[in-house]
Order: sequence, then C-alpha cells, then structure tokens
Amino acid sequence: MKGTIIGTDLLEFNNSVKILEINTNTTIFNSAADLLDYTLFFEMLVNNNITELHFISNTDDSYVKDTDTLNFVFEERLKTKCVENNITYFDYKVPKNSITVPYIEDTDTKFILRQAYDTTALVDETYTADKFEFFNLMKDSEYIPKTYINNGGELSFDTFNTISNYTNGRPNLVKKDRYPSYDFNLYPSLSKLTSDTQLNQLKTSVDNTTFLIQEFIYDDANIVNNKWNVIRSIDILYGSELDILNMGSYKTATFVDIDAWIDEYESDGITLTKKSRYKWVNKSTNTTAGTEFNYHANSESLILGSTGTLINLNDLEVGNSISSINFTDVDGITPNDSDADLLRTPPRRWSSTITQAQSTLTTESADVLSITSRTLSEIMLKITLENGVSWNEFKNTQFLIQSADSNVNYFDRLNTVEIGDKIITYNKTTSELSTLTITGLEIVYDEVIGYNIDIEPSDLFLVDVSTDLFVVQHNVNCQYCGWYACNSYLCDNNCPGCPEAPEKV
Amino acid sequence: MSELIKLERPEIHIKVEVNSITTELKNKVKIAVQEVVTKIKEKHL
Repeated sequence: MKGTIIGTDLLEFNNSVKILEINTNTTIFNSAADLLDYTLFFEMLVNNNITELHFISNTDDSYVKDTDTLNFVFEERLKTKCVENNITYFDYKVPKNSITVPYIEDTDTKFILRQAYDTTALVDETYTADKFEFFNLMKDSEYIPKTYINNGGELSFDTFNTISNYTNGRPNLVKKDRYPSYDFNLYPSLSKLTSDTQLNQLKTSVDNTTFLIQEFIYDDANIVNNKWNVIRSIDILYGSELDILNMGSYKTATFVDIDAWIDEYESDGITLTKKSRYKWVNKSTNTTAGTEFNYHANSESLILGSTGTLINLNDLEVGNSISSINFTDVDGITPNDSDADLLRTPPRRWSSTITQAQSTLTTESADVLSITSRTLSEIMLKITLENGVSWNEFKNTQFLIQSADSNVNYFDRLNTVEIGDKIITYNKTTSELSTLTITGLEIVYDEVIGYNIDIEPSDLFLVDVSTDLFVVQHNVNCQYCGWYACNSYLCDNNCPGCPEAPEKV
Repeated sequence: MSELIKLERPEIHIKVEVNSITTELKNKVKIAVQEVVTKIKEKHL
C-alpha cells in the first residue's frame, strides 16, 4: 500500500477555515512533531497486517531543525512506533528539488509512505504543482478564498467580485504565482485596495496566464503572540480508494510581529513592499530556489588589511593580501584545518578557550582568491555590544564567540547567539584576544551589498568594531546553502547544492 | 581527541514559532481537508 503526506496550509476566517494551498513535499517542524498523533496511522498499519514501513523523505525540505536536536523528529517517532508495533522500518532520502522517488516494489505487507514530491503522482502533478488546477477543483467549496483565475481556458473562474474589507487597515488582496517556483522577493504579493474599481482594474492588468488573485483572508484569530499565524495540517492520503488520515495540525508564525513596522508600499501605492510582507508571510529569500548566496560580510564592514589598514569590501580585489590570525584548540586543531563539519557540528565541534587560543596565536596574511557580491534586501539582526557599537548582520554570519555560561570559544551563527554571550575580539596593536558582551539582538530590515570572500591559506578574517578591535569571522561557505549537508551547518566549496556564485556588483 | 562540549543551539531570533491549536479548530481543519480529498475522489475515482 502507498501513502502520501499532504501538508495543507489554512487560515481561520469567521469561525471556519480557508485553504491556501496543499503540498506533498511538505515540511514538518521538529517542534511540531510531538503535536501530531501517530496512533491512528499505526492502528491502520496493524489492521492492514503491514509488517514493513518504507518512508521516503526529502533530505532538505522534510523538516526544520528548530529544537536542539539534529535529528528528524517526525521520522524518529515513526521509528519508535514501528518498534512498538513490530514493524520493520526502512528509510529512503531523495535530494532537494527531486521530482521523482525511488521505486519500491509494493506488496500487501508493505506501506510506502512518501514525504517528497513525485511528478508521476496525480495529486502532486495536478494539484500541488498547479494552483489553477487546485482552486478550480475547489471552486464550489466554502473552504477557499474568493478567487479570480482567467487564463482563457477551462480552469478559469471568478468568485472574487467584491472586496469585503476596505476598512481594517490590513491587506485585502493577494496575488499568487500559479506554479511553486516563484520569486519570493515578489510573491505572494499583498495589496491593500480601496475600491472595487481597483479590483476590476487589477483583473484586467494581471498576467492571467501566470497569476491568480484572491481575497486576502484576514481574521484576528490568526494572530498569536502578536504574530500572524498560518495553520499547517498534516494528513496521509493512502490506498487505492484515496482514504485520508489526519495526524493533526498546528500553527506557524511569521518572523516578525504584526506591528513590527508600518506598512510601506511599492510605487503603485497599493502593493506592500517585501519588508512589509514579512509581517504576513514566513518564508525568507534565502530558502527560495535560485536566491541562495553565501554571505560573509557586507558593505558596511571594514576588514583589516595586511599592512594594518582598514579596507572596505567594495575596494577589496582578488590578489589583495589581508590580515588573519591562527590558533589551536587543546587538540592542536586550528579553525583553518577544520573541515566544515568539524567547525560546527557536534560532537566534534571545534572549540577552545581564550587562554588556549592566546597561547597559540599567530598572525599571518591571507590572499583574496575570489570576491563576489549581491545586493540583499532582507530581515537581519541588529547586534549591539557592551561598548555601544551596533550594526546589522545576516542571521547566518559566523563569529567566534564565547557563550555566557562558559569559557569555551567556538564559531557560531548569529541567529543562535544569545544576549549575554560574548564576541571574541582581536586587538591589532597588542595581539590580545578579549571579549565584548552582546547586549542587544533585534530583528531589523535592511538593504546591503553582501560579500562572499574566499581567502587562503587562512580562513579567518578580521572585521573592525572599535578602535584597534576586530571581531573574528570565518569565511566558511554554504551558510545559505539549501543542500541538506549544510542547511543549518556548514560545508565547503564542493557542496553540490551551492549555486554558482554571482559576480561582484 | 578530547571530548568536546556539545554547544549546538537552535535558531533563536529569526525563526518560525510553532503554536498548538485547539481540538475544535483541529476538527474544522480536518473537515476542510476531507473536502479536498472528496473532490479529488469525485473527479478521479
């Protein structure tokens, strides 16, 4: 028997719900895995005399590591339940962007559960890959928003005749791409219209072959802890009769508060800017296909040159020499020797103390082998240090830090750093390592030119934060890589998931 | 090699918070999803 995990996104509306989309290559957050009920599923397996569970999942998209475990918690729960029910477990991983799944011979005693996209499957190819098809299927249902599709074919329909909410100051229209591979920098776009005349004008001007427009579903019930929330339902569609088994549902919130900043509009005066959309949509550009960029530092960063001068990254060129430092941990391993896994992945993680690092510290120079850049408009973190210095930085930037509750130094991403942790600084005059306590971390939105630099033989570069003081950054690649081997972790330049780097702008 | 301290921490700042929902809302969601499946069945089975 075969089954597919269906992820359905919904919003609450007038004491009911509206469906936004369905997905088969759905993501189950680790923190949500225990909000699901596995009992019904395993009762069904046992009742059907299933002795083998074959689970196919996508290495990159299947789960989000939002707790302190590296494991795929949903899969762990499946394994545990298999043991409890004397079912043998088999797992299969398909890579990111895979559109087919491995062939597994189906038998009466096997259940083949898929949490991955399969272009040969009806539901995937027809209803999750094409919103025109899905909403046309549901056009008579009370569970979808008012919708306008007009591609000139049989999928066209229009239930979006009037906008019911002009007055609450919230968006009231959403424009969605028909297909999943859209540019998140632009879509789904949200608008705030003030008349039905504007609605009718939009209907005539929209690219009807690619986009649909819908009423934006607004209800106060979707606000939890001052953030906009979307419901995610996890169901299993299985068997030749397409039976459905609900495992449960939960809500996921946006990154920022609903009143994080005032609404801003594009030049048309009605479409919310990307910054404003972050109050309503919880996808970030760096997780969207085609927009990955291995960010190291930005145009505000001044790095220490080999002659002691400060260099703006925009002035840095291939072949330039910059200052670097080197030191070891108790095992004699330097951050430069460490491969990507060793640098950050427990339990082999590279770590040291200031005393250890200071006693082995050497200064050296490194040559710039490449430098690339990209203009980035994104949410990021404003970091403030005890000396009052603050700047905006991307969440995955690697710093050498010391956690607040220990004397251990290690490289970590800014997004996992806590207020009270200390950032390690290097004094260019005395060559001493010391610390500055992080006193503030807040989400902001900014536009910067981001840079990726490859330097050798050292991987460490020094960024100015105060007179003579520099933070220690590692130029490890793939912070933004979507490939599973990196994701929250790191990888080297051979990462198969990394896109070709852009030229310097 | 000496034993290294496990310091891995989850995303803290820019992250998606997961919130539980009521049984009543779960049931509404369940009915809506069932309607999707019903319509797929009507069209294809």
